[in-house]
Amino acid sequence: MYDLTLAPTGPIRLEPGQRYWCAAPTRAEAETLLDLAAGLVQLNYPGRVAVLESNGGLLSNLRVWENLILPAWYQKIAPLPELEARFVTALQRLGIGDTEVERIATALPVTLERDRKRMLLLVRAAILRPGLMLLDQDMWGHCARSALLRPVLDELSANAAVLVIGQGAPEQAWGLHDLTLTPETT
Amino acid sequence: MRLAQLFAPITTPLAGLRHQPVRRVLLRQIYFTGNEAVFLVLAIGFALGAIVISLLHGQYGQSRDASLRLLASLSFKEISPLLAAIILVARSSSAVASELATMQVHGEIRSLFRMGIPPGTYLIMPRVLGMTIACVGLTLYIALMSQAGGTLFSAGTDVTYEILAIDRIMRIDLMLTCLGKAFVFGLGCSLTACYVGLRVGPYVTDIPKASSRAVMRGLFVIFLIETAWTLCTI
Repeated sequence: MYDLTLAPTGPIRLEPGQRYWCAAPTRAEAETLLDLAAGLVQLNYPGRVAVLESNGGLLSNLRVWENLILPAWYQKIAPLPELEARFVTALQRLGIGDTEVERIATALPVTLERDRKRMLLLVRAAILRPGLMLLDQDMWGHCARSALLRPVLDELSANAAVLVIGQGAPEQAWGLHDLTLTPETT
Repeated sequence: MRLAQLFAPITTPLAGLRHQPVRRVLLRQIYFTGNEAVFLVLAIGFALGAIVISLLHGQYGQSRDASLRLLASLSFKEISPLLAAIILVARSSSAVASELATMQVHGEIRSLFRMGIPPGTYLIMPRVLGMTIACVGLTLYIALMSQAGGTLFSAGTDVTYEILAIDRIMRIDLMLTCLGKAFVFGLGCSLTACYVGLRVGPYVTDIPKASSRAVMRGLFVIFLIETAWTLCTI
């Protein structure tokens, strides 16, 4: 169970295996809310939170492999050989062969397409094995529409609480509980 | 205020060194700033020693011993730290500033924060520490090589005698001044580069501006420190 205080009304409880939607009035405010939520949960539950954002998320001066293990490595979640095994397993789960795994691992993020980058963010979450996942609206929509990514997100969210932060109502409801964090409460 | 609180802005990022990825960034910074410039600074140092000695001999008619003493004093106290800092600004300040500016413009610093990795600990501290260590190292290389170059040019085949009598020339106060200045110059250059890199606007066109600004401000900071140091030690 994860407590998150975004509104003056007190903390909200996020249960593993449940999905929540948090609406902000504008896109800019949704981004700010995501910053706030990420800052709070990363402080309280270090190494147990994955943030999946549709734009960016990968550091341009690190190779993909270094990017994907970075949060888990920094938080000392597992030794490097274990992280490598998780990396390969997660990519194979997404139907990527050994040769392609090697190519992706050594590539720089700038050489990858946007959809491939989004897929890799999900791989990064799979390496981390989080208890709480924060997604922005676009990333959620992308995963919900993708036949490849949706089962992986389903698997990850079976043991993790999922909080989607966006503007207005979700494009793909997909079993979301509305947190009713509307402008009145935020 | 407790002592721990007083030094928290320094000790908190330094505590990040317990994380392996942070240590990796630090080692990479030392490698790129210090190690990759070694041959360049060794050559510059050697040439510097030879030039100064030939000037002292040719124009002022100094004795070999007095020339080497003067060279040590000039090189360790003034020229080597200054030259190393200028090389550091030219090579690394612009690189660090443009790298950080790129990350800032593309929202990567925000992503780091969202990942639970403090940018100050992961990005800034290893770069500042790495550049400072590299500056101290480069300064020592230049100073020692200038002394070697000067000795070789003034003594010729008699160089063994001068090497054995090196303790008469290289005093501990010279070494401490050299290291102290190099440390302050490195700190000044690196902090300036990081500050300039992070203070960019949201546009890609701000990246090259940050790069050139880091060089100009870095040079300004070096000469400001040099002036302040000279005034304090008069």
